[in-house]
Amino acid sequence: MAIDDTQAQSETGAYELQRPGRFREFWSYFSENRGAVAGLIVFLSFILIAIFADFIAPYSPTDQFRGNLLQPPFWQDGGSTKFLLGTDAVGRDMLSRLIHGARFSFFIGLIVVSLSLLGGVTIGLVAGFVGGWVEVMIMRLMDVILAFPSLLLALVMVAILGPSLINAMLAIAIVLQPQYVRLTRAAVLAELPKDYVTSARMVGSGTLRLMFITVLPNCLAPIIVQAALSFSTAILDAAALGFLGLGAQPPKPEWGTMLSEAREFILRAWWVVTLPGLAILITVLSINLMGDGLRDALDPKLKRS
Amino acid sequence: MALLDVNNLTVEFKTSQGQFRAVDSIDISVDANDVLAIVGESGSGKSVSMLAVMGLLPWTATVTADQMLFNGIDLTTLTAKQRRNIVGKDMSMIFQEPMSSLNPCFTVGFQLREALKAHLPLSRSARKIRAIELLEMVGIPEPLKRLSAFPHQLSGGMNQRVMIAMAIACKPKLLIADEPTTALDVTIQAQILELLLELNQQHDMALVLITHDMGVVAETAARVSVQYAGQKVEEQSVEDLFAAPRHPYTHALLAALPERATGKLLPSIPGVVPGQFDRPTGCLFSPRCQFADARCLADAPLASPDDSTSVRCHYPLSNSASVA
Amino acid sequence: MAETLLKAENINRYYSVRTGFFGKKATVRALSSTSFKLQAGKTLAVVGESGCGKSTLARVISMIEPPGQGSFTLDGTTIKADEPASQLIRSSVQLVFQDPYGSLNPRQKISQILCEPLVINKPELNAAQREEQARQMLQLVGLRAEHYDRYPHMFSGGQRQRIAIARALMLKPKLLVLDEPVSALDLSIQSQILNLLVELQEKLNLTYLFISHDLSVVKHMADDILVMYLGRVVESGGVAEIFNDAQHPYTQALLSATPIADPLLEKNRIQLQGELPSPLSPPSGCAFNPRCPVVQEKCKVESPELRLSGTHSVSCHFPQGD
Repeated sequence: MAIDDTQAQSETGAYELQRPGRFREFWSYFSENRGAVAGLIVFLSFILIAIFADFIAPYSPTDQFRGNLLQPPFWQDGGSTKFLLGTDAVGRDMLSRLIHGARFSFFIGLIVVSLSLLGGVTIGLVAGFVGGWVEVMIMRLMDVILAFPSLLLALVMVAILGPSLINAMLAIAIVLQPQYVRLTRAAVLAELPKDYVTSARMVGSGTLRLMFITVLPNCLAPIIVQAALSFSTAILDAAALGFLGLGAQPPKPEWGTMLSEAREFILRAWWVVTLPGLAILITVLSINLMGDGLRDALDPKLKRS
Repeated sequence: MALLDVNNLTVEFKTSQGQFRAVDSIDISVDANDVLAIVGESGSGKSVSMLAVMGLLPWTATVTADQMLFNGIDLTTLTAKQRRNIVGKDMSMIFQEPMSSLNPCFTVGFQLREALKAHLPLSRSARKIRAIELLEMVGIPEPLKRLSAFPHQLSGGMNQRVMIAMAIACKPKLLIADEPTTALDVTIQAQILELLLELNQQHDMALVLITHDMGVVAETAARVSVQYAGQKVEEQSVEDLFAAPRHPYTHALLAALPERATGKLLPSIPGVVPGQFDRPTGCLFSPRCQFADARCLADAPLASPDDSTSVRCHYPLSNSASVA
Repeated sequence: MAETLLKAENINRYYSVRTGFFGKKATVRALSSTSFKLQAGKTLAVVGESGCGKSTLARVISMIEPPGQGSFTLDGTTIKADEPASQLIRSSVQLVFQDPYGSLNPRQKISQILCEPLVINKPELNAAQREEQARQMLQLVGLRAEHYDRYPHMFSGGQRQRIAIARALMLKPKLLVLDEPVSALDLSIQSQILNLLVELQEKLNLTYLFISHDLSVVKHMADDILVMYLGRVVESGGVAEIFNDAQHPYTQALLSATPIADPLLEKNRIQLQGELPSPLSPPSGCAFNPRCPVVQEKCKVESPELRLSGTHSVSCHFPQGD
């Protein structure tokens, strides 16, 4: 073998030892941001609560304890450790309802993000690859959707489709879609002129292969960040629709719906209003903090900005 | 006394995997009117060492030196403000990418006048006259018209001329050129190098040329300092270095030049420059050196000045050894 | 006499660009009537400064872009402006890029990078056969077997360029277009890659179209040279003829401007005035006339043709023989 193998060997040497793996590098950036780590912990416990709601919750969320209407949390006068966070106007255990509400919120976030992600990324890829009038049409349509206040548009859609949790999720997914389209298209346009794409063309990759196998994996970083952030937007929007009576319908323990049911007790029983609101706040905040950390770790262009 | 006298300069960067030594006990000495070339591959610390002298490194860097004298002033004890009075006035620097070294939002004239305003007590009109004079000096045709041009309206070679004009605006005693022609075409490179040498001779300005191009070194420099993995491995006058390199690295580097090739295969240096995690214990070049023995692998050689040259090697090649 | 692998005839490539938002459409003549021949197993180097059209030539020959006009014949098949070439022809030319950091997909393992050309072009092979070929290629370019499952970011610039060369060779091309393959590499790595290219050429009987701006590399690698200026060939001939007997004033200036690593060499440098004119508005007559040190009236009016002068072809009205 004329080409010196020993040369190539010493050329590698310990080269790969010094380069930490992808995940370790990601974690070192991510863990630098303490808020992100805190957000991740809260978010993980949120997911665990959502999954194991049936086992964690002391009661069923719809069980009514007629003898304990509007009982305050246990640390207040009149509260008892039987209902740790008190009960609502029809005697349902607040803690159980909040725990089951986490399941709804998680479900909403997951479905909405998957829908808008799949649709948005595909449309964005098409816009970036095809170009020409197709791209112009897609992007103008997205601009139109973006021009409406998102909640208002979702409201209109729910009003047309009829109020239910599924329709609310559909509406929110459509409203969130343009962000993915724009993001994906921008990332695709940035990747297309790179040499490795030309190289893939040289060996004869078809358009579909170029789109999904060559280019898409390299566009994922900003999309993942956006997915995390829109998870919280979805939860927030669904809660708002629920509050307006257009999302999940009572007696489902959705946090927004719980808020709207408890409106009239705002002065008499603070816990029925405050606790669902707090649950929304903590969840959304933790996801946003985590999203910021993801952005730091995945998207070097946006770092420290 | 030397214009710039740096002893035992070490620069360390804080990274997530610990301290990284980019520059390792380097001595630099530049006389007035000298042309010193610092040669090395990427990662040899050639740019970092000069940025350290200029005080332009980010906060993650720790700079230590036994002595860092410029024009009799100790650079290590200066306050930031005192340093700003020297940097850009008596000592200035030009960079590799002329396109990104100029601010794209402002006209060439504005940036040039800005440089003058910072250091010289000139009136508005005097600054403009001086700016035109400077552009003329660096060989830009129609200087008055060019003053109102934005950097993107000029070519790379023109922008590099503007950068040089800004660097020499206050008649510096020392100009550090960091790969000034790497981004330019050869015919433009020839023009820029000619200009730099002309300024060096006519305006009594010492020149430090950081480059990786041996051809540029041979045609411009008077003295050459070769760096490898953060260390200075050899310093000689340019004629002696090309005729009889003392360090095996320099020897191998010169032999690898295609223009010195005798056969179809070039004599090449195996391996790569050591990085942060695979620094050898002994001589840094030992894993790639064809002459290395047990001593080289165990002990790091010290820089040994022997008459006119200094070599960091246990077994420097004798003067009579010629380049294969 | 070696057979002619590639014969290009009057290749043109124009781009139309819009200057400004409301600006008129303008034409950039990136490549004008370029003709040359390339013998099998030889290396033809294309030299010139930025904007001279050498990268456009690389893209046309490697069939990333069709020629605007004209045609070229590759191994008996003619590729014209309006006829898309078949994938079989396409795979007989491969391109190695300048920047080894951009030319490898960062999300693919080396195994995928090497096998992808086979997956697409040779569906008859099964996974084991593909892997065998890829591993052989890895060894051929001087990398080790355990590199097979790694990602590109774990490699240095020189190693990445080896991988890029390996990928280009997976389809057993006849012609390899090398677009500045060593100019992003350090000097000590550059010689390793140049040696690899020389060895591969001997072993696989490859033909190279070697694009470079570095004349000392070109002198070492090339058999024939094409000197380009502003989209046109100004001089072409064997490497010895060009380096010893350059006749076009631009070639002479280019040679004299190239720094030689010998401080004792006294050089008679021809300083070119000014810079490359904008390709949007090339000068009339000979494209080089505004910078030419020996320009005459005729040069400003009439564009010279490439014709034989002494040992090789020059496109100049007044070739500067010694």
